[in-house]
Amino acid sequence: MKGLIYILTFIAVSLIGYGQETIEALVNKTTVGVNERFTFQIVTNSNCQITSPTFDGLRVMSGPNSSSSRSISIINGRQTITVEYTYTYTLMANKEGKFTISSVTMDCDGKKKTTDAITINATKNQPNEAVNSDFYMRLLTNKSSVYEGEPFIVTLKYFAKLPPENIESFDLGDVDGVWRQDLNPSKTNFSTDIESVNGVRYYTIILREELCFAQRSGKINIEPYSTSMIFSQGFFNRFRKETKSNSLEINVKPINSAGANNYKGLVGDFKMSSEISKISAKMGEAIDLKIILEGKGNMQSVGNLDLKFPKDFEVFDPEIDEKTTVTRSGISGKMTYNFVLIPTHYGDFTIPAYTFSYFDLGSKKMKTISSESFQIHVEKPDGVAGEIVVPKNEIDVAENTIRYIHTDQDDIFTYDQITFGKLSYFALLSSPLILSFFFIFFKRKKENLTDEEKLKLAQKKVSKEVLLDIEKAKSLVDSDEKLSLKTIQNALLHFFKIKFNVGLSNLSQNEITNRLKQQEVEGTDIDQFNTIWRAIELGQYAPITTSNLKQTIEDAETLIQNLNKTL
Amino acid sequence: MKQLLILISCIGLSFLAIGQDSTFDAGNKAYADGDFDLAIEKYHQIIGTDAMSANIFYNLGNAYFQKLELGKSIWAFEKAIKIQPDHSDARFNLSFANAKTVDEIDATGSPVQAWLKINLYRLGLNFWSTISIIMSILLAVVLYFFFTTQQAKIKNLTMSSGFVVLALLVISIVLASLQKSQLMKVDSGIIITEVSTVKTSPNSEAETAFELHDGSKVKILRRDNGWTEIDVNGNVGWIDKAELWEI
Repeated sequence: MKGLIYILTFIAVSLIGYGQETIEALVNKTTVGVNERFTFQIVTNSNCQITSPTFDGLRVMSGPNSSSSRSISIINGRQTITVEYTYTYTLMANKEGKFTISSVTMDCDGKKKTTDAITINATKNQPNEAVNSDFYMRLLTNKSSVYEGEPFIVTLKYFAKLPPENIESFDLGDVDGVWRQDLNPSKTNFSTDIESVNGVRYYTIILREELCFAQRSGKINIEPYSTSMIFSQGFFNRFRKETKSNSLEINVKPINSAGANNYKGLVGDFKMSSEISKISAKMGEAIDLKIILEGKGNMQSVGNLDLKFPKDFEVFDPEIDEKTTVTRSGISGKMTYNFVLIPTHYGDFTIPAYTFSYFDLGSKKMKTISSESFQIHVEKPDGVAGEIVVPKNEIDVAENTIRYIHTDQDDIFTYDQITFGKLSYFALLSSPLILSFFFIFFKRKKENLTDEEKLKLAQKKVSKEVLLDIEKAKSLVDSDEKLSLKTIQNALLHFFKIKFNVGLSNLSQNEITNRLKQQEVEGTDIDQFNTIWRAIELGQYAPITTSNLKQTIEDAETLIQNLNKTL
Repeated sequence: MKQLLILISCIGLSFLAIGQDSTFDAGNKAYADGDFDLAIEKYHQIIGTDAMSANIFYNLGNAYFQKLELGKSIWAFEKAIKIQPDHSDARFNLSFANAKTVDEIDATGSPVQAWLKINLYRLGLNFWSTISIIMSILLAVVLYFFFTTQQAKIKNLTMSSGFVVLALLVISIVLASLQKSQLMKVDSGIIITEVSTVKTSPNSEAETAFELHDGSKVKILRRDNGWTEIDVNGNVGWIDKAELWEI
């Protein structure tokens, strides 16, 4: 134990800076058994006045025993002399319980320095080694509450009263939802520090420092890390110790991504720019497009830029030039996305801007940034019949152009002029059929008449027929008197035949007169009939004057008209 | 009956509109001289908004093709074929122009319709409507004799010929109506802009569904406020009305 103290004392020297007063209160154990002796030391590099501590019921077995040491070191030709004064107490607890060794104050001409108070835990039984924790590991973090994607550091720190000779193995604890990156991946040389915890001096080694980004919100638990180390105490006394660290809980605050555009979880501070090699190209000519993303934050989650290029560009997967460094405050640097675009069709195209949102840690707000958008003009190749290679359809080589125009004018019409389907068309279409049915109907009707009906129809029509005959007779007056007279006679006979419905043999002059009387025809008409009849009969044997013939025809005409009314 | 026939032939003649020979010739001359812009202007002048003529559209398609306006030339050839399905030069030039387009379009219609188009529609709407009226007159005559005659021989003859005439009447009406509906319906269009973005909704802010290039033939589903819903190979989207010329 005494050896250890000396070592501690010796090491303490190195802690003391030049020209600066330091004071430190140390114990060799914080957990002691009842009646076990332990030491308490006050180490200082100055001769200033020191107030004695109070020991809160701990029994002072001996001390303060003062000692001093001087050391001279020459570094780069510069000589440094350090002096260290140590006041050692040997203490013992008489009973179980917690005891507090009060803080020690040093007063150097008004400048006061105070050590921390030390709590001693006295237990009934001799404490074992582990409780005394002369070897342990701590997981520490610089932030216990972070935003999603905000960088934080997890440090694995080794504390021991002995420096390890070799770190044999080293296991990371499991973590869910955290992206981790070793800040010093190629670290081989571990520097040893000295730190006092609750009055006990420890060698500390930072075994690992990790840059972490939480990938989800909520409580994230970092599981304990474990190591196995080899220590040597003297040349022959080597031993292995395995230990686990504590676990660490990180509270991850969610990010409100309201109003964000294409938010992919980027947190930090970013800038974006873009460059294009040309904005006017021929078909098949390559165009280089660079999109540069610069900044600091969780750049590892940028991934691919899902830029929506026009379909007429053949686009290869971008070549990504990544120049980033992992620092304690995140990943910083520059990512360059080199796209090669090959237009496959002519026209004017827009290469859209790439827009995304990230959470700005400074203002704790969403920010949206964009690259530039470009208008690209792709020229038409010369001549359509020329060099366009379209593999879809092969055209006969002989027919390498279109056929010539027609110079003959054909019919020009408009939709309005199409008659088909209009009312007039249907009228035209149906009228023959309607007419046909109409004719059929009348023909059928005629055929189906009774004798009486037929007679009545004939009687109705007869006067017209007879008058026509008389007209005929009139025309014959000058040329053929006999035929004219005959025609009139026949006309009259026909008239009476139909009207009285009798045979021709029954139509003598007397018979006609009788029948006319029976039908109550006026006397003047009957007289007229007899006059005409006699004139006709006379004319058949003796020549008749033209004037008489004409008179007779006119009389016959009047008679027929009159009789047609009464009969 | 004779008067009716004269009437019908008069109406048939009225289908033939007055030709605009001078403008057409001017267009043809401009084309021959290589002034395709003037030719296009002249042809458009004749067509106006709704005139139909296979040859004018065919020539217009040629002029557009010479101007490298692929979309518009395909539109004009399609129009010519729509008016006159057996216009073989228009068919040839259309397939030639179509070979230059980029988008692969499934354009195979039903073979029955294609056969009908080429073999029956070629005779024209007027032909079939005139035939239908002639058949109607014949049917009327046949029916008259069938119902009025007393002779069994004539009755048999008229009955059998009546069925033939009736069948011809029905066929001519069906063909005419098919042809008319084919002529009247506007259910497809041609993309005339070099590149046209098809949106998922009738809104310029909407997401791009896909892109089409000049000369692509699309089916028209419906129209809404300056936008047209189209179908290409089963993909549906909205396009600005101005980027599409209806056939």
